[in-house]
Amino acid sequence: MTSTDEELVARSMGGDHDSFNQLILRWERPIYALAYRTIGREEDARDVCQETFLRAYRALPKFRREAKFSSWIYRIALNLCRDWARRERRTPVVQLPEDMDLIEMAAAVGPSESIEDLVARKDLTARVELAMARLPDEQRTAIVLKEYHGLTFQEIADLQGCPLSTVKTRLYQGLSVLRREFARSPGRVA
Amino acid sequence: MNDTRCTFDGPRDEVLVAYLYDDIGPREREAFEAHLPDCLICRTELDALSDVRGGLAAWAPPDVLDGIGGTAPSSALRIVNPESPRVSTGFRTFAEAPVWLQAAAAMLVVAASLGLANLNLTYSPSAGLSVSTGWMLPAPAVTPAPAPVVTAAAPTPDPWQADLTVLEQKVMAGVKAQLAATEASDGDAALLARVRNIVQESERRQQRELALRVAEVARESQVQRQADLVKIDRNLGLIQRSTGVEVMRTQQQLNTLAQRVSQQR
Ligand SMILES: [Zn+2]
Repeated sequence: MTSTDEELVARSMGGDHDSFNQLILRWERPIYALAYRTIGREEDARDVCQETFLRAYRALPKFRREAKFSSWIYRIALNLCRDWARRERRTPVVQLPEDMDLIEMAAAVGPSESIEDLVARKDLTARVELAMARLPDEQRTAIVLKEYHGLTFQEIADLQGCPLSTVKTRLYQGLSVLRREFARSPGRVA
Repeated sequence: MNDTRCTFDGPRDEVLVAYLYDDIGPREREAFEAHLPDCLICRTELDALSDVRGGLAAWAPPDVLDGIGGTAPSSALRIVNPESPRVSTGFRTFAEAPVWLQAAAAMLVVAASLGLANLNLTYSPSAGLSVSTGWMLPAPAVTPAPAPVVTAAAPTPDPWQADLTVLEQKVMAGVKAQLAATEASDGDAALLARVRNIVQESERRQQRELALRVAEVARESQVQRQADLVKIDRNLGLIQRSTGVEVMRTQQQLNTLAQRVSQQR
């Protein structure tokens, strides 16, 4: 029988490293995905993922048992993402897919197309990434937490430290911007 | 029916997004569902935003390990607690061991095999020391350097920290040297496999180095103890000899006294 997060946390607090490793195993992919979609760089996302679990491990004694482990770990990860943004003083980066041959593509591009158009035409993922990267942090984070992590509006509100209605507004505004971005992209996404 | 203006009574945008994500209370849902058939604007927007969600579904983060190495990141980040430094130290109780050794025995090694640039070794649950190559280094005056940096969180360096620092530098130097040697590799999978080996090798070497240092300290302590015993032996001998001399002298004095007494009689 698989243990719940809370059971694993309790055992980890008792000094059982294996239990904490199980928590890592369970949550490292979501945390990495969250970090990647928030900051847009693989290497830095991996750093954030590692650091998230290190910090969580060190802070275990301070963990309130009535709290939800996932919320706690998301909070740590989001704080680290915010630190990253402050440190790097920049918005998420869009990495070009590795299989994209820019020279070959440049030959095919029309004179009025920008490199962003080029990328957008080539790769759907890159288009979504570009559009997401342009959103304000709060809107992007709200969308990522809702869309890819299935958090409730209330959970997002708790994480973002804002009223429930603000979360919904952020999502509505963010999605509306994406709708316009996708509509004007060559080879529409949506 | 009004095709140019939405007449929904309430925070329409919030309700629409709540409906879109099916994260909505029953009363709001009912009200919105009653409104939808009459409002082309809401229906159109709901469709459009559903399409946006469909587009978002295409955005998957690159799963480097699945893509290159073929294994899940389960080997990436683990907390291990090596027991080896405790054995064969020659110390009768753990409390007798030097502080740095206790720290080493209790240390946590968090090893990352995820990538080259963010190898991260951390030695102490209490945030004593960490090695990182990522951007999360404690901010120095300069911008994050690509080279590994060793940082000590404790304000006053303990002797064992110096030992660990030396170890870390050795390990990192070894890893870097080997990484440099594998730079012109023939494929990502091969490279990742090599990186994994290097990281594992560096861990083994690190533990071996620790074991060596432990043995060294134990030997030093043993030598010191033997030297102390010899010294004590010698001192005891001296005491015994001097005691013997004293006894002899006392006996001689007694004898002399006895002779004098007998002569006086
Ligand atoms: Zn309406």
